[in-house]
Parts: sequence; structure tokens; C-alpha cells
Amino acid sequence: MVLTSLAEGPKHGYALIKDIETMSGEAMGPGTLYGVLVRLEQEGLVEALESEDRRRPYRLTGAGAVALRERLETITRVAKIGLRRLGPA
Amino acid sequence: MKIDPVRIAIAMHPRWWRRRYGEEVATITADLVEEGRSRWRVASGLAIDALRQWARGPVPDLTHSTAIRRQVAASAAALPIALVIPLVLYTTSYQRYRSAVWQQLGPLLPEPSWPNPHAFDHRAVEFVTRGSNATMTPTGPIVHGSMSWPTYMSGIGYFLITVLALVCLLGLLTIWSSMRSALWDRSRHSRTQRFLVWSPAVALVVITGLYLWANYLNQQPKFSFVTSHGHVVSTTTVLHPLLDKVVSDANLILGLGTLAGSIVAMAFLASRVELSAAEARVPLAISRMIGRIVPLLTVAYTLWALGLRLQGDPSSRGQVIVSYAHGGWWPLALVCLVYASVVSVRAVGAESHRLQHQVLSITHG
Repeated sequence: MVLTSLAEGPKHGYALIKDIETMSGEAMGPGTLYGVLVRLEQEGLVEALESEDRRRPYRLTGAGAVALRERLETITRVAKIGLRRLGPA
Repeated sequence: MKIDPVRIAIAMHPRWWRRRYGEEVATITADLVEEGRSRWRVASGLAIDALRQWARGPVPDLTHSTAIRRQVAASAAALPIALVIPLVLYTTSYQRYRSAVWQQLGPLLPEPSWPNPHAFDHRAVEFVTRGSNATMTPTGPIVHGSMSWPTYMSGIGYFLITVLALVCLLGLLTIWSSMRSALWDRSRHSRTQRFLVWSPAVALVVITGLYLWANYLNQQPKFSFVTSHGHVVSTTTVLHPLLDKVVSDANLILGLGTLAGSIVAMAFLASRVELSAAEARVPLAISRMIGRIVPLLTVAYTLWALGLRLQGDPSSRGQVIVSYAHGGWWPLALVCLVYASVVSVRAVGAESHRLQHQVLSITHG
């Protein structure tokens, strides 16, 4: 979800929390968000930009975009298969 | 003074995390609290994340000086030892787990012909279980000590410890062998560092030697008989209690001393010797695998220690448990060694990344 949110463009922590809340309907805490951000940053999937007024924006790297695309394609494929197997509602 | 849970939760994080993310998380949290989010809920989420960050071990911080990284590596390596030493001392020094097996013989059985150590072999000697006396049968196979659920728990814990520790040991040997030649080359001008390259091997040899020695001594049983409540009671003592204590304590001190030396040596090397990214790739991959095993080992140790503590009186235990208690410290030492090596390898990896960044900066500059 963090990668999907950043696909729109660079965002700082607060904007990410709000965007994820809008996307999923679930409230995300800063503890969870920064746990994920630390890992993504270490894996080179996101990178931090210069800090603006004590808020540091993050953006998707090239590797992050590739990883996100692969993940979304997998999810889409699985969702299509699942819906087809379920049949019409 | 008003307590701010968010500030406490942020302070619980490792220093590198606070330097890197502390200020922006505090700002975001203030915004969220202002719009109505519960301060305690946010703080609990941050506290859980703090535990997660500590569990990951020291993370490469490209801005840290060598001295700080060395301190971080050494203290992170010492932490598990500081946590587990009291547990080991508590468990292994408890008299119940130090003495040997007690067997109660019924009045029907003749007094065994001492000092023949095989006097029991043709007799059926059942251990007294908690709350009921053993049924005595004149002939038949030897019946092993009763197995209660804490015994099984302890046994499963010990089995897991052994298997996981062996996997870690293999990983550790692979890490060490893939780093050894590179470390040796980089340490060409320092005799001390060249010696330190071999310190894990020295630690391994010493620990194995101590284990084999303790095992050898445990193969020398001594029998004695006393009369208690009208029954003949035999005790099988591995060593004289005083000698047993001396040997166990000496093993513990020597093992942990060697281990501590190896940890300091590896932390020292990690802070001084720099590997290229290619050289650090295999050690880092294996260290990540071992890093995932270490929490499982903690669970296994908890099972083992709890099982030992939950057992009832000595008569409800079999000899198996005695050997668990005697052999318990060395896998623990191994876990600490593995953890320390993982920390050290990560520190080496951090150095490689730092160098790469420097090279990239110069190239782009």
C-alpha cells in the first residue's frame, strides 16, 4: 500500500497515512508506517528526499516501481481467477 | 510532570532510528493527535515498532563513525549474553538439576552387590512417580524415568535447540570460510588482526573440547546407597557434588570467556576490516538466514528452561533430564556466538555499503 501510494508521487509520512486511510479504509499508525518505510528504504524500493519543515518526503525508486508493478500484476491475475471461479454474483 | 507516551515510545527505538526518523515521526504524531487520534494508541504502535527495530539488530547507518559502530556491534553482541547468563546460572546451579538420578528399591529386592555398577541390569527398577509409589517387579527390563508433560516440553525444546544451533553453526562456518581469506588479506599489516581472523575457530575448538570433556566425565557414574523410610534408596552421582560443581562452573566460565573473546575479536575486525560488496554478499545472505533462526532459538530455550522449572520433585525425573541440564549451556553459548557473528558481519556489510556510496559520490561528483 505504501508503494502504491508513492506511485502517485513523493509524499511525506502524514500524507502517506491519510492516502492509505482513503485507499483501504483502515487507520494506519506511524509505528506501522515507519516499520515498513525503514524496510523499503533498506531494500532500495523507496528513497528519502530533502526534509521540508521537519517532514521528509519519500519517493518510489526505479526498483520500487518494478517491484510494485510485478506485485500488482500478480494480485490482478489472482483476483481475476478468483472472480471467474466464483461466477456471477 | 505530565508523561508523554509518544515521546517514551520514540525514545525506546535504537539510536540510529531516532536520529534518522525521530523528528519526523514526532511531527506526524503531533498532527495525528491534533486531529483526534488517541495518543496512547499511537504510542503503543510505536512501542511495538521499537521492539521490532531492536530485534532486527544494528542496521547500517551510513553517517556513523567507526567508533560508534564498533560500540553498537559490541553492545548488541553482549546483550543476549547479559540476558541469558542469569537463566543458565539459575537453572544449572539449582541442586535439583545438578544431582543425579534417585531410584527407590522395594523391600522385595535384595540389596545390590556393591560395588558392581551393573547390579541393576537384571532387575526391574521403576522410578517413583509423583504421588504414587513404584510397582516393584522382580525381573524384567529396566523402566525409564516417568515422562511428564514438562519433561516432554523440555525435551522438545532441547531437540529444537540442537537442530537450530547446528544449522546456525553450519551457516556460521560458511560465513567465516567465505570471509576468511578476504579478512586475512586486509589484515596483512597487523599481526593482531591476523590472529583475530582465527578467533571463531579457536572458540569453536575450545567449546567442543569442553563439551567432550564434560561428556567424558559424565560417563563415570558413582553409585551409593542409603536407607530412607525403610527402603533402600540408590543414588547415581556423576561426580562428587563438589567436583561436579567445580567442573561445571569451570566449563561455564571457560566457555563463556572464550566466547566473549571471540565476540570482541569479531566486533573489532568488523570495525577495522572492509570488504567489497561482492565479498560481503554470501556472508550477508547467510547472516540474514541466521537472523531469522535466532528468534526461534529463543522460543526453544524458553521451552527448555520452563520445562526444567516445571518438573516436580527429583523422583519424577529420569536421567534424560539430568543430561539436559548438564549439557544446556553449550548450545546457549553457540547461540550467542552466532548472534555476535551476525552482528559483526552486518557491520562489515555496512562498511562495504559506505565505501560503495563514497565511490558513487566521487564518480558522480
